[in-house]
Amino acid sequence: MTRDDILNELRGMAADFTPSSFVKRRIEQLHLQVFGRVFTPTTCRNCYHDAIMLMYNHLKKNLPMAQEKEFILKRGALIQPVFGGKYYSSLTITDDVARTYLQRHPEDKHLFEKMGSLDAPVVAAAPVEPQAVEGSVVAAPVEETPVVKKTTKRKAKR
Amino acid sequence: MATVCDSLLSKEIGVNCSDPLVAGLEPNGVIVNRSQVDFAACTINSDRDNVVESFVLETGAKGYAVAQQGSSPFTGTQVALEVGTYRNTFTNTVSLVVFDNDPDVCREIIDKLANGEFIVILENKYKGLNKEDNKGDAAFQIFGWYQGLVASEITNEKYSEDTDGGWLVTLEETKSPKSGMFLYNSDYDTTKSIVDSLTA
Repeated sequence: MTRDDILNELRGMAADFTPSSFVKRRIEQLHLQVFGRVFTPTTCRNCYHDAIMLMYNHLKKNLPMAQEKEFILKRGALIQPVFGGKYYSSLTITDDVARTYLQRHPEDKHLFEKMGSLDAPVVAAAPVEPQAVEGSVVAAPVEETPVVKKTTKRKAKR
Repeated sequence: MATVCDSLLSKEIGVNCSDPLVAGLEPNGVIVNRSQVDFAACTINSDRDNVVESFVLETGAKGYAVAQQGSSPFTGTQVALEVGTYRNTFTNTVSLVVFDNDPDVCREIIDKLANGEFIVILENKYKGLNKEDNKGDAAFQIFGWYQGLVASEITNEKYSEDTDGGWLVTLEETKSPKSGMFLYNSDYDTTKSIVDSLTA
């Protein structure tokens, strides 16, 4: 989607805002595209509408979109850079992941709508997660902290 | 030598007691123009030929979300056997309501639905998440994969209490060789990310 497409969509949403699950999911997707981070809803009733206005103002000021990417996957395509690791779709892929992936799998060029230069320096390597699959939760070990009991002394009544 | 396609039953017909079947569909689906599907990039599971593992659209093409209202969204959606002279096939029917009516809706949605050929992906309420293998592979069902869905009925009954004056659209695919095509890759979340990326 281009910047203008997103602006038009946000304009329509703001004019006729209905907080249905469908609209909320769409706002979450756009948030990821515009700011590059997952939208975290708060308990505030207007948080989704606020997100629309934040994105709209951001784009209206011609500030850069997080995902004006060099590499764009076709819609529906999935790639898995590391066997058994995380899958990436057109919504979640980054340029670095795409570049690293294409250097290893040039035969999958047909899955991309847009491709930048493969020779550009890779700033960060694709994350290596041999076990972690998107959506799975791995519990981190929790250090035990000593429990300090509060003791209150009652003053003796005279 | 000519190949013979046998039709031998290969699984017990039982009742799933631990994860009972649930009727119905979720209220959100995705519709895509069939001509914009990149079939060369789509992949089918090598062991299960009714499971599509990647559903890729052509460059620049996108899917469109279909949102329904009410307690029984997509009412009328069904798969039915069609008896043929030499081979039996299946007819897939998808019914949806367009809860809107204005010049843009008529021009951009209804007129296109009337003459186009589509694929619809719907999410079953029964997802099979408690299965031992392939958890969640029953969630996303594809209609129109083989022949494409084409409109068989479109009505706009002004006094309809069911549609509130909206458009009732019935899309139909005939002569489908398989009773059901499913979209599934690895797990439910991964498959859902495919569906989400179609409309983004």
